[in-house]
Amino acid sequence: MSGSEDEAFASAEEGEEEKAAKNAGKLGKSSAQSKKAGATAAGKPADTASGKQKGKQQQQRKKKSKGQPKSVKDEKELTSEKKPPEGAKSEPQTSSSSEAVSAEVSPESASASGKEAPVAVSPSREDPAGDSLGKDSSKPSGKDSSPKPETDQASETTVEKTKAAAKTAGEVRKDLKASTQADSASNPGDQVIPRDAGSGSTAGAGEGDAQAKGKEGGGDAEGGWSWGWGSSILTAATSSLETFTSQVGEGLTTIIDTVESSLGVPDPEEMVRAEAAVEPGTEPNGAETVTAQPREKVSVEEQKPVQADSSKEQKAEGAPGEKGDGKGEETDEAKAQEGGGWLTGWGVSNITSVGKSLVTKSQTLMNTGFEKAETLAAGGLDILETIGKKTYTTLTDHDPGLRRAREFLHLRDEKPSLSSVLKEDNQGLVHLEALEMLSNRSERKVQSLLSAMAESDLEAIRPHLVEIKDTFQQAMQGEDDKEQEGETEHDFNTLVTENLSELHLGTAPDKLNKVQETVRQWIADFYSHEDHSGISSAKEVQERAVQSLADVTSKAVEQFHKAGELVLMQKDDEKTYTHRAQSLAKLAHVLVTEVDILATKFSHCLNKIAEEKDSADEVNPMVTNVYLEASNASGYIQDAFQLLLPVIQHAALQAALSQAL
Amino acid sequence: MCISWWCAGVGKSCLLLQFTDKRFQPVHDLTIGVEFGARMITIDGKQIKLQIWDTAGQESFRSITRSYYRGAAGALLVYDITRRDTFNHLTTWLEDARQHSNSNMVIMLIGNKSDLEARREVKKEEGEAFAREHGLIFMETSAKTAANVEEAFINTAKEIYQKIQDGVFDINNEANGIKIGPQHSPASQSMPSGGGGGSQGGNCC
Repeated sequence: MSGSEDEAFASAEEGEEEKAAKNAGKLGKSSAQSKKAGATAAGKPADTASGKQKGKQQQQRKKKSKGQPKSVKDEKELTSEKKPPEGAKSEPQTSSSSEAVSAEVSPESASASGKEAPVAVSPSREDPAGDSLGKDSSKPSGKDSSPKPETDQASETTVEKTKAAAKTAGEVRKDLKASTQADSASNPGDQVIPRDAGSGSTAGAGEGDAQAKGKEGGGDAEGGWSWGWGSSILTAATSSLETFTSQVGEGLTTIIDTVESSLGVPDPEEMVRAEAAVEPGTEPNGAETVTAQPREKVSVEEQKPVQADSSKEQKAEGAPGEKGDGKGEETDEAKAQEGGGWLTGWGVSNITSVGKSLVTKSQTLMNTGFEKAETLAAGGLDILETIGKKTYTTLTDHDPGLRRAREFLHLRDEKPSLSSVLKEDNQGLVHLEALEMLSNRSERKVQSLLSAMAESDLEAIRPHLVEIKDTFQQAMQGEDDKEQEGETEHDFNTLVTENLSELHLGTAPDKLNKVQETVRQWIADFYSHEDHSGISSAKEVQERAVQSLADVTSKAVEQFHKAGELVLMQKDDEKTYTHRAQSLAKLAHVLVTEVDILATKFSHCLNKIAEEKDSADEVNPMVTNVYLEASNASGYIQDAFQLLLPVIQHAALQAALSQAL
Repeated sequence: MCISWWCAGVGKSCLLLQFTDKRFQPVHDLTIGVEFGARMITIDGKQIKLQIWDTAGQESFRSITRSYYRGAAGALLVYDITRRDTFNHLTTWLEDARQHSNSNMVIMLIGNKSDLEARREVKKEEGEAFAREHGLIFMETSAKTAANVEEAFINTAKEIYQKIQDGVFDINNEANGIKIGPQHSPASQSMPSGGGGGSQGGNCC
């Protein structure tokens, strides 16, 4: 899909998250606390954990990064992202001390500055306490030496991470201050604290963050590196609910893809295990961090109490508590990551639900501040549920194949039906299915390409992608208006050939034109004969009409399919991709118009028979049926056209990247 | 549905035409992307519509044709017995196909142009050995004489049918035989299955 769509989608989700968070707040403080603690603990432990864990995290980050590009819609978002890069840079440095951390960080930085940036933002705020980079670096180095021993390492790593985070946070703060992110600034500070606390203290941080924005909470959950990320999302998100609903159809594919990929990537069980392994270390760390480090300065007054509480709790609870935490973390992460992340988080949450009960004990200890965090977490779950439902409905309602299959089953009575003809007699539906596959693949490609792009390149290409998307959307809207105009005749052959040649794909609409000519010829023959005794019945005309509509539809879909394949293969820069999108839109319009005209003409034929044979009662339903199938045919054509959106965007991205090289 | 994918010019489209239309057309346009063919067959007393995707063999189409692997229940992997290079590419193809398709996909290896015995470069034994090594079914065919063409497609279909019977294929397919939604990758349990149930009208491929 287009970056813009993704963005819109992401933003919509974010908005939902916020709502959910609010709702969640009602549910209970305890859950929030546990989630927060878990989030922080989990994030850090993961870093420390074995290479596998690292890999997972990296994947998650990648996902996150993907999400970010999407979310970048608003200027605010952009600014926030930009800022993060600075923080990100700082993070890598700090992280370098510890091997594990560094490994994780580097991938992010390489992939996209934008990703890193978000993370960095939150840390910076916190770190004032841990501000001294030198301290952090020194600590990490010690960790590096002993990264492998799980418990020891874990604790060390967590400490390091927290330290690193603090350092980065300090840096980030400066950045943030410089930038005008008033909103996030307060929140970031809160976030920082939780991270510093490490396993125990995370909960405290959650409070402020949650209040300020759902986003921040997400950042915390992700861990030191990902802190800032959440905030950027939050800023972007608020207004997006509307967009979300409107774009559900388009976003459906995105959702599906994200779901697939997200499900595949992080194995919840593994994550839980990793967290469990890390736990021992994290607890000590949390305690250490609280007492030893000067974070208090940085952290709000709340932090201290929170940290202490959390550390106690964690100790008491041990691994189970962490699981619960992990769950919370994941949900937060999921939010941050947008659709894909949420889903992942969801799966994890199911697994870790056991951990919740354990966490409850600790909840009591938590402060009111945690409530907010809780809200966030709970909101995340709600959101996930909502998304699940939406995904299902979108899948069932918007899957052309499924819809058609249903129609096919329902319309399978004596009436000739377009879909049955399409299915039985020609390859129209198969082309549509293949086009859908192509479209889905392009969409995935677009996302992965965008996620791998540098911020500057992203900025450069975004307008083009948005332009292409707008062209497709306008074509849809324009179609509604044009329908009312009721064009009665046009030069089909010329228009189709013209618009196809504008695509510069080297295809000729031979099949399409031939089919259309055949249909027109049949109609002309019908009109030319005064006596229609040769035609046995109105039913025959009706069948002919449906067959003709199916033929035209089939060839139209095939034409779009071929255009999609060719546009991906050719490196012809003579025509911009926006221009091609426009040509395709015109082509779609010509085809839809043709279908309307054919329906009208066939209806005239039917009415003529009705007059001659005085059988209006019999013919009227047939006329209705012809118009109905014509609208179905238009639907297929429009669907095929819209499926080309990701394909064109994919081709545009490919071209841009090849030029850059 | 069956996706057939092979090197360019080994006779994929000719095989398909022979199978669907029972005719041989020596000169064929270059396949662009993917073309389709369909035929009803009967297996086990059940009518089955084979929907066959004939993918372009040209290397430049490779990235596109990959998009189409996903929904395939079976594939015919075709090489030209008169061109060793087409046989040498099989390994690459297999890797690609297995990477982008359902792991349960039935794959039949076909050495085409068996009528051109005089120009044979790849021995039948070599094809058999390759098939054995990679767990494929093997057959030599001639799209020109129609030798083994029916058998090749129908045996593949039978194999798929058997896998469906054995429950190897999770059939989210609609009863009409077209697998719905390429998004339904085997790995994603999260996808709501379209409610297609088990009433597989015998349609596969």
